[in-house]
Amino acid sequence: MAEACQPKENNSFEAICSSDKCHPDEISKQDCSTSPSPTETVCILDSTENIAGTSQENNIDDDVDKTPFFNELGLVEEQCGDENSQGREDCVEILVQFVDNPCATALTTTPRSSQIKRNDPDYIERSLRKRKLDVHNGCPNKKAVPEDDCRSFDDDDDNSSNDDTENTTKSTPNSRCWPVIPTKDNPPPEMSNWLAQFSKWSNAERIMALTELIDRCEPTQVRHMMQVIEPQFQRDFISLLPKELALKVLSFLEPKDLLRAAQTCHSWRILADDNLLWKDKCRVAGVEEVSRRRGPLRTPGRTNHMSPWKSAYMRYHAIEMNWRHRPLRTPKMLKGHDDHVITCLQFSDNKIVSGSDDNTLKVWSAVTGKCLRTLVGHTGGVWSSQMSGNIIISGSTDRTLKVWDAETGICRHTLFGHTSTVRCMHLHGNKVVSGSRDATLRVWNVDTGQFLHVLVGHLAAVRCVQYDGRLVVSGAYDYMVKVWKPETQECLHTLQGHTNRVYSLQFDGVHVVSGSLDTSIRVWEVETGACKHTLMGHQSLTSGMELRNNILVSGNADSTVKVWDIVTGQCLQTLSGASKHQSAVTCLQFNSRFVITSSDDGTVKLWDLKTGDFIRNLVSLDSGGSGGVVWRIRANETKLVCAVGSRNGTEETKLVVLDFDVDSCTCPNSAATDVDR
Amino acid sequence: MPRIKLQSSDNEIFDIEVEIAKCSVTIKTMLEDLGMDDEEEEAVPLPNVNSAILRKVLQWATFHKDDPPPPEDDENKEKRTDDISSWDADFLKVDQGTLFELILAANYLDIKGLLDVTCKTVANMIKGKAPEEIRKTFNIKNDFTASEEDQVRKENEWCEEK
Repeated sequence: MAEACQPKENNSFEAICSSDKCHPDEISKQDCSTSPSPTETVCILDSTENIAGTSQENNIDDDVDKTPFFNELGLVEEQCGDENSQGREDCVEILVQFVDNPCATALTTTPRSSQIKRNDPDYIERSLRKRKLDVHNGCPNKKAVPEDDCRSFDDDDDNSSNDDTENTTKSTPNSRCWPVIPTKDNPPPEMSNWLAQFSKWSNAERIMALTELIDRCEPTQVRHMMQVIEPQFQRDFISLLPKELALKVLSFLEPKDLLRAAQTCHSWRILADDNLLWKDKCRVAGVEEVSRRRGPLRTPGRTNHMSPWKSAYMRYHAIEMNWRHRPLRTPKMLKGHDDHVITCLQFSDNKIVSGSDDNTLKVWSAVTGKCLRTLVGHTGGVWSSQMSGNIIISGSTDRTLKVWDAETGICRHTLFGHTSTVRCMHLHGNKVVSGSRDATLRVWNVDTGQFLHVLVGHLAAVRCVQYDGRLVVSGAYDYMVKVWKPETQECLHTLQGHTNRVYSLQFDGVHVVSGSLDTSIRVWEVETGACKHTLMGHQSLTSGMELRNNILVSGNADSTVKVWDIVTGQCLQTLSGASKHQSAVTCLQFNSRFVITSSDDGTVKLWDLKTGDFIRNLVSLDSGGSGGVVWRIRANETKLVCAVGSRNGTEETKLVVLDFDVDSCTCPNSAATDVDR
Repeated sequence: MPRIKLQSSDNEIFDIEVEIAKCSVTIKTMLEDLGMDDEEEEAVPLPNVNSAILRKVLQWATFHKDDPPPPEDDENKEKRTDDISSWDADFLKVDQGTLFELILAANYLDIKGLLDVTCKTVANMIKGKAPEEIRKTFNIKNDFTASEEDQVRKENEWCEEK
């Protein structure tokens, strides 16, 4: 029967190979519609070269020896031996099933006796085309045939294969599909027997058989095997682990990776959006508040609610990107104080207070940029101020302090006592400590306007003061730093060591840090009064300092800024380099990521705290270098306020307010952060 | 050196030093609760750990038996995954199935060091990968609809540095 079906072909091997363009489903559909049974295929493909009289097992062995079973699409060469040997497709199915389920037991045997349509010319043509294509795709396998097993018909096969290749190229160069492809529903004949045999074997036998099988596979077939096997060893850890363990894995990811993990699938998304996970990311990043907004913002039509901590983190990150990279929005210009100098600046809760040597203070809205109040009353220039809530306190060359109501602009108290300029002050709770050119400090109750204590001991003007509610620390032009107990008015320690005027102070309750015109910065222990470190490196007056969590940032008239670890006394960074300030640093502020510095050169610069790298200029006055200066800066998480002007009329005195918030910005991330909460 | 017998879920008996077994807080607590100190003949059953995994776990515990106890305030530290020792990295060059079972076993046996290092290893397999690469790595099916995927992508957009 087989011979009858093979008028043109005489080869014993048939190769059915895949074409990348041909989808298996497509193929099998076509196959099913035209051929009622897989057996037909086998009959048609039966070669004239029978291995007659061999037992079924032998045939299987032959199959194994002579041809590969596998290729990428699970299509295989077909052995055209006798009817018993049937098709090579079996092998694929078997292997796939081995792999899918190594313990698979009995497999049903499909009857393969039908030989209808064997003489159908269409059918013959299809099968021929199949063979041609197979060869064309180059799958026949020589390597799998052990040398000692080589038989003469291998050579025949080779020749005919070559012929086929030529024919195929000529006749059906663009053939995309062919009919008989093995599928699970349409397995090759004999495969079930082969599988049944496999199932009967012991574990050791199976392993041996598999080893032999793999040995006979082409690289493409082995690769297919790997593709089938690999997922067996893959685990969707996040979906399959108990929730707390999946979250533990995710806790080791950076926010950036968590965002990508959330895009993987539903179950990953739920876990990667876990609120506590993001709370921890916020903690690490120093984001302490979920939302500082006036109320929950909801985008209409959005029903899903992002984790509040994730939202907070996304917002924080978007704001950081606004500070670092995004184009600066046009700043608000708050003009006032005419051509006078702005000497002090306060900024909190969207309220700005500027003090000037024009004897006034102005209260501004950081949101609208409008001047809300002008505080008039001092008879001399204002040189120091403090603000807390609705209360503003100012110190003047008129030797008084004034306590103002920020809302109404009314002066509640005028504090008399100093006999010279009030140059510095520090507010804690409802007590303010003022330092004066009269070399004394005075402690006042700002609610009642009552004078509480006077601290006498300095020999020259008091230039800077810090008060933590317990101790007062003062620095003066007598080169000394003093620690006071205000209640008893006694000086606990006199910190001696500076060899010139002390201009700046920081006090965290444990350490006192003093900056002096002698170019050094000293770190003192407040309890013992001992000098722990002398920070050397600056070349001029340290005009401004900020201390947070044992990190000190100092701004110097030498135009550099330094970052110090006050515990070790080490200088961690010097903010200088090609983009450094061109003249004295006037003011600075820093948080866990950035240092912002202002200078007499008319710029405000942003630096990376950890690396010390210059990030960019936030402000750069056109008049910079020709008189325009930045006197003071204040910033919160989203806004920067700069007091700018000049002494020669090149730059009008004003406040420049920059906004880095996401809400009003065009950052594409605002879409994400608007998903609320 | 006192020894103890541990019995895996598939009934294999492991005879090891008590000190090594005690790196498992679960076993340590069990021994303390039961007052099993002296020459205990009976094996401690560990019905949740098979012999292949238990062998791996004990291999890890043996190597790490002299490690200092993990710090208490561990949770407050910044999470790092680049601090896996080379021995651990080699030890964890296993297929995902084994790694998965090791995590479960470390959790069940309450071995913090092993749990940390296995979880970090999985985290490292996720790190730096695009969603599609993550799916490929763990054989995950993308079960988002096109519109969901769009929404999720927007929601998780990361403002890149320039």
